[in-house]
Amino acid sequence: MNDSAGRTVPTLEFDDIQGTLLRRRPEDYHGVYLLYRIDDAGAAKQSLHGILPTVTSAADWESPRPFTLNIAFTYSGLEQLGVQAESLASFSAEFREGMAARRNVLGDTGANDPVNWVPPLGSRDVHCGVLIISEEAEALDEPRNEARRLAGVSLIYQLDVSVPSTGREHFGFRDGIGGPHILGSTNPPLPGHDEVWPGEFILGYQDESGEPPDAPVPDALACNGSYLAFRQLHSDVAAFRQYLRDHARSPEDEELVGAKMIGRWRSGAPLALSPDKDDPDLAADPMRNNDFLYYDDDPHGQCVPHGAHIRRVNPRDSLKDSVVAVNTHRLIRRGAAYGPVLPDGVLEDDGAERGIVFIFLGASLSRQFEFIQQVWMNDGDFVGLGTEKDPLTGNHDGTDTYTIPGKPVRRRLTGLPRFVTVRGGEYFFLPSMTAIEWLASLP
Amino acid sequence: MFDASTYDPISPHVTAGEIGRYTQEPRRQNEGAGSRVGNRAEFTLVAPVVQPTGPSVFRERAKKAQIEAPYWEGRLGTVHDLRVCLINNDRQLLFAATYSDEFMPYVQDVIRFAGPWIDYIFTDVAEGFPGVKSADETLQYIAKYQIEAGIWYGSPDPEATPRDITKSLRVTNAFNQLLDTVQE
Repeated sequence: MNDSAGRTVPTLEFDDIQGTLLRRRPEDYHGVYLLYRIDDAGAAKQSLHGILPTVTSAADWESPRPFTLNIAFTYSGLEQLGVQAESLASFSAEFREGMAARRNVLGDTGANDPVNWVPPLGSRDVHCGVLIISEEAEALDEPRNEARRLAGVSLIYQLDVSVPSTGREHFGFRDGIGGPHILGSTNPPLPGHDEVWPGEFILGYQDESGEPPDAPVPDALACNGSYLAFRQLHSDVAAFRQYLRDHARSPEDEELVGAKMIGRWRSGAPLALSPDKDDPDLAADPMRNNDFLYYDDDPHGQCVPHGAHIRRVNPRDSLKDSVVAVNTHRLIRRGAAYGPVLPDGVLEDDGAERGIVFIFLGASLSRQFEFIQQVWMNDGDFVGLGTEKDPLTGNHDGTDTYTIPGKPVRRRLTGLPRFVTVRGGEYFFLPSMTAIEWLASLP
Repeated sequence: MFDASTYDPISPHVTAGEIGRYTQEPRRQNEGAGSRVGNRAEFTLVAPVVQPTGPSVFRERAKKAQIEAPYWEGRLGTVHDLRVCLINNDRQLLFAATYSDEFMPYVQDVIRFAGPWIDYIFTDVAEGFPGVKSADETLQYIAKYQIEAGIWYGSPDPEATPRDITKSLRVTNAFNQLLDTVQE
């Protein structure tokens, strides 16, 4: 298969790539994130051998199955398993440091500071993560029970996720529409999903530069795996609703202000294609709901403000005049909601723990996840907005502003409170199936 | 933290309060070496020059490198100023810049974009320069010869980035024109 630039698109080894890297979870999902500490390396490796047949590859993903299971390891986890020093040193620096140590790069200060994270998140005790997803809640019972009984490891953290009854994430927005199309993937390319070389996300394949990305040694670890950033984010839904109530002029205006902050209406319809009102039919149509660019149609942010959430995490072609190669700063995003829905119309926080768990996958944590966080989310200079942060996810302290371009003058929201708080996270290595076998067979 | 009540100024003719009105608090870069105050950071490199031919190569290359400097550095959007000088009897090259925002996240974009200009200045001039091919090699070279400023003053408005400044000047101009129109 050739692309227009004449480079041959590689054939991806679907049966060696863990499924979550290439495939999305089902729309109606139930799942569980399990974090383990390795207590006895030998017994743990035996457990790993035992789990291996259950780990779902990208080839297996499509066939009907009660659940999918994927597994990843932190630097500490690899150390515990007995990976040798030379191999350990070949992993990227930020992976070895762990997410908590990257707090200055990620802007995890104040309430997001790792000292405030929910234990054991951020500690060196988190060694291994397992994700089990199913379309049926009952189908999780058996693997969940098995997961508790694994030898050699202690289950130190568990987070249950499921699609909220609204079908939306907790702030009320339909999530998970955008995303890059990985060249070589068998998923049909949908309009507006930018084509990106596989090596940007999967080790061992050509990336945008034409070369494979830096990868760990030995060979068993070097292909078909990826780096993974896990991040649990609390959603203060009441604060968000209250803010819209206080700063908008009417219920219709609340919807507009919310859309201007995100870049899509709550239905998922993009502002870029429907700037004045929501369009649920557009939102529901995958052939249209992501098919837009910014440079020609919206250079001044009149439809989609430059600081809107989706325009920050994916500037598309709007940075064409800068030196930044946006294609090298993309990532695969997997999200799942946790916690009970805050009933419609409730503007007082009920104290419940709710939010979203994100997994970001890519070949380079620093160039993708950390870059987006540091340069496009926590700052506004890349679009001439000084220190403005992402209106929804920004680490706000009550003084931040959000600029909504408009005619004759811009509208500016002030006093943005914190809506999202980081409960914790970590960097993982998502190994290939071959690599899992190799890890399980370490002496 | 500066404390005017306990600070003893260098000159008896200046009060601690006066110093306090101006003083700034530098800190280290998040990643790598270099001093920063607010959003104004210094990058200072002092590297050995190829002897005996390096200096004359540099002087010849400097002509075009100067003409094109505003393009290569200006388009990055984050550089306030930059100077490249032969120092110490032509034995070393000083490459010093003031910039805003973080350097590390952009390093691959910078290298890919400004590579031709940087290569033009450094190749055959700077001893041991690996060429701008890979971010890793370039960072290793930088780490070897980068020095950190012992004293750093970047700006009276250290939060202002190049884009902020351009925008502010434009807005001031537009506002003045508006007032002029109203005045008539």
